[in-house]
Amino acid sequence: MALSRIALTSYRADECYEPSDDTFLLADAINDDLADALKSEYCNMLAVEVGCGSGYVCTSLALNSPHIQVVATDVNHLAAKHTAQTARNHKCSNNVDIVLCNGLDAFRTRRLFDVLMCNPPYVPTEDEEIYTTTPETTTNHNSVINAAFAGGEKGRLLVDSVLMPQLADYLWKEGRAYVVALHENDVGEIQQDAKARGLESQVVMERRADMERLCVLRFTTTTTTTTL
Amino acid sequence: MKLLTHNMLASTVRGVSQGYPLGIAPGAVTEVHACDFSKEFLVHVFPKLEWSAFVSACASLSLPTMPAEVTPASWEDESFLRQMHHNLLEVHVQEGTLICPESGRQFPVSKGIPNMLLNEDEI
Ligand SMILES: C[S@@+](CC[C@H](N)C(=O)[O-])C[C@H]1O[C@@H](n2cnc3c(N)ncnc32)[C@H](O)[C@@H]1O
Repeated sequence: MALSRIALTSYRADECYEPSDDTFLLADAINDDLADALKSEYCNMLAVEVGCGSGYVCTSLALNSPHIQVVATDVNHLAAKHTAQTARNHKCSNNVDIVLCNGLDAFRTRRLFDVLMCNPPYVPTEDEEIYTTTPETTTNHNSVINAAFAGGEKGRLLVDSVLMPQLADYLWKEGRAYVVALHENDVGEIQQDAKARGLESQVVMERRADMERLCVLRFTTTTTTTTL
Repeated sequence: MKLLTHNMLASTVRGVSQGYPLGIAPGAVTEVHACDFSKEFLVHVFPKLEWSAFVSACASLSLPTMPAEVTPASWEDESFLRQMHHNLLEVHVQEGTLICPESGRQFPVSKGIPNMLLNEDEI
């Protein structure tokens, strides 16, 4: 199994999400599931990461090939800053472009991405703690830090309200989306919802971390899972 | 922000139906960072591009002109491919302003990062 430890991640726990077990799981799952495509010398990919935090995941994908272009988004401007630094530290700032935006809102609706990755805020919390765009929240740092983990009821707010409704519109024909979920998020229900939207889904990696049971779900728009 | 990224961004301010393509205000500061040329990448990404938006973005930044139409012959034209590679992937807008074509809402680009976050009353 491909392990994707990268060494020079830039973060400060008080400024953005600190790379954790969920971060490593997502990076590993992507590198493992895409291993064949990534090995090819003609590995051309347009990828997007929603909620990039420190930039660990997008950088670990970008490091595979100079012909992978990743757009990384976050609502936290300090996360954007750290992602830029993490990419620079690994000499792949040319493959990671960063956009401050809410979910996929700032992207024109069109099948664009070969790979979408997201480690959403997945901890079940009161809805008040979740991210909302008001002028204060973009400057009020506590709420931006809360946005890194507070996932609303069932911990699925970003998944249910942003990702699931939009995935099919944004994924390129053979595109794949990788999303971290917690057992408590009710993985089966997420998969049922995906099915209702015409998406295939599969758990591609699972791991136990402390008290959490984490997994990575892969969504595709077609039943074929041929290489990219 | 590369022009590849610019090509994908749109304004979704409330009430806007045509928030694309975003204008690039005059005076933008750009930097060039060389990267590996790959014809395969350009071929791969071409169907995802809005070509006319890319052509006008190049013009806003006074980059070498891209042809209005890409023909099968273009893909055999080395100088076209090199120029497309340069304009799409090597030119970075570091400082500047993106403008919604319909509402005029401005989105700042600072240290290479466009800020597309909307205020609550704009959603
Ligand atoms: C669990 S952290 C993951 C960070 C990083 N990808 C990692 O794996 O370490 C979730 C990230 O999503 C961001 N986020 C929360 N809500 C968001 C939204 N609506 N749109 C974009 N990003 C969001 C947070 O700021 C945070 O950086």
